[in-house]
Amino acid sequence: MTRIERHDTGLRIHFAEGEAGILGSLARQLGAVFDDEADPARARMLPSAYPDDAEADAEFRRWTSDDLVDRKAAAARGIADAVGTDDPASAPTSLDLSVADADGWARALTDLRVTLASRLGIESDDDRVPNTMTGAVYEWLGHLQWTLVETLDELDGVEPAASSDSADPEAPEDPR
Amino acid sequence: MLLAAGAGTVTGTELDEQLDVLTVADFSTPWLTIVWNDPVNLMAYVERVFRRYFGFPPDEAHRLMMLVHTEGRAVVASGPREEMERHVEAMHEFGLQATVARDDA
Repeated sequence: MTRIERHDTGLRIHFAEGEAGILGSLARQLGAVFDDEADPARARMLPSAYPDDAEADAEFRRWTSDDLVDRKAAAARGIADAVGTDDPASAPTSLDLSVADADGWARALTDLRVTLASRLGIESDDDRVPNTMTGAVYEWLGHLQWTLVETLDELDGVEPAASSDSADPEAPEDPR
Repeated sequence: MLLAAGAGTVTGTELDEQLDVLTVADFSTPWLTIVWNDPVNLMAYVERVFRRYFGFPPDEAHRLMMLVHTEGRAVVASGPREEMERHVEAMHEFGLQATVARDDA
């Protein structure tokens, strides 16, 4: 399982065998999701700012969607480039990230998890993560993001958020 | 967005009047940024976004995150409409579910 530790002013991620390749492959695939306007995962990553006002919604999208997609795609590319492999049999490897890079990773990991949640049919807090390969990847990305955020918070001198009263990030019944 | 509302279709006087109305609507009526619960985002991540993006102290970021989690939503900012739209765009970039609403409470 992936480990993350503080390293100088940033952090260091240790990937076990295959993990870097899976992450790189997913991050690379996210670009195609952004390119497909019919993909329900894309719609979920670009929610309405005005769910009750179609006109305001359209206006908001006209001004924001393209830039938003560009920035999200760039964040996903940042992971793919940093990881540098999409080989599911990638060797164990370590990677150093600055705080800014790691915050970009945290954002892109959210988009990856939203996309997988869409594929897995996870629409509400009551939906369980299926016991499938994709489900396992979804859980692993959650673990990776949780550990990343926890380490970033430590670097800020902030107590690990919410961990005392909520939860185990791997517990599917309490994902938030 | 002010200009997009009526430019080119009205006389100067009408435009002035429209702009007055729009100005009142956009700057006097408080608007809200609302963040909604969703099944994907992690509590720690939402809390970090609130702390880092809005500059909330850790306790306030935690309180707002818990509101989202337990009540299903939380108002995280109020003010001019365009400012709320910038916040919502940022929340969408962070992957949070956020909407703009008129404050008619």
